[in-house]
Amino acid sequence: MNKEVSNKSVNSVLLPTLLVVGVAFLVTAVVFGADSVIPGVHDAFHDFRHSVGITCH
Amino acid sequence: MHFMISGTQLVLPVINIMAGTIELQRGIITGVIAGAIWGIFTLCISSITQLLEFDFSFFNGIVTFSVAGMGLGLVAGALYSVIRNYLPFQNEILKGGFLSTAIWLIFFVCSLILSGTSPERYHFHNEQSLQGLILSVFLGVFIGLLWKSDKIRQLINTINL
Ligand SMILES: [Zn+2]
Repeated sequence: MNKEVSNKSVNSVLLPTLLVVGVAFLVTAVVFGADSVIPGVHDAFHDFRHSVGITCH
Repeated sequence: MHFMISGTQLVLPVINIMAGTIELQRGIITGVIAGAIWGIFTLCISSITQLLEFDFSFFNGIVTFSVAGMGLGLVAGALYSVIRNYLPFQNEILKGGFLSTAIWLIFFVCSLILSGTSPERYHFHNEQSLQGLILSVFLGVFIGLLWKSDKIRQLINTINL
């Protein structure tokens, strides 16, 4: 019972948390146009960045 | 009696974590859907206001704006599900709007710092930033609206994580 609960907790706490942290990292790269993190992200999301008012060119 | 209390104290954190994760998963799914809608909404508003010269067509924008919106929505929705009970509002829409505006402000302040450190790369446009501030409220409004939606709750029960 205890083991089952802890396995379930790992799957249902750890995995979503890792997902959120990973996506937060990617979103930060998109928002600031960090090509060093994701190549091409600056140009691909350029319209979006200006639309939401983050400093850019 | 003493044994009962310590037993409850032992089990309670586990129950809390389980309940909390159901909320977290609901927050993630709600945030992704709200974020996609908000991305398209942002594209539409920005296309109307024309505060920038678009590099891409509206139809290309549908992809990039909804992807960026889903990412931001996922993070905002997850945070929302975790801290909504600690926010000083009763209304879910107010809670959401407060949170998404706060997230935007963090990004914006960081971008201001970047424009201070490398001014040749990061330029400030005041109308665009005002538009961004106003639009950021709507991301949380959409999350708050969808959080209460029965359809989203049914969807989450159907995929049952
Ligand atoms: Zn730019």
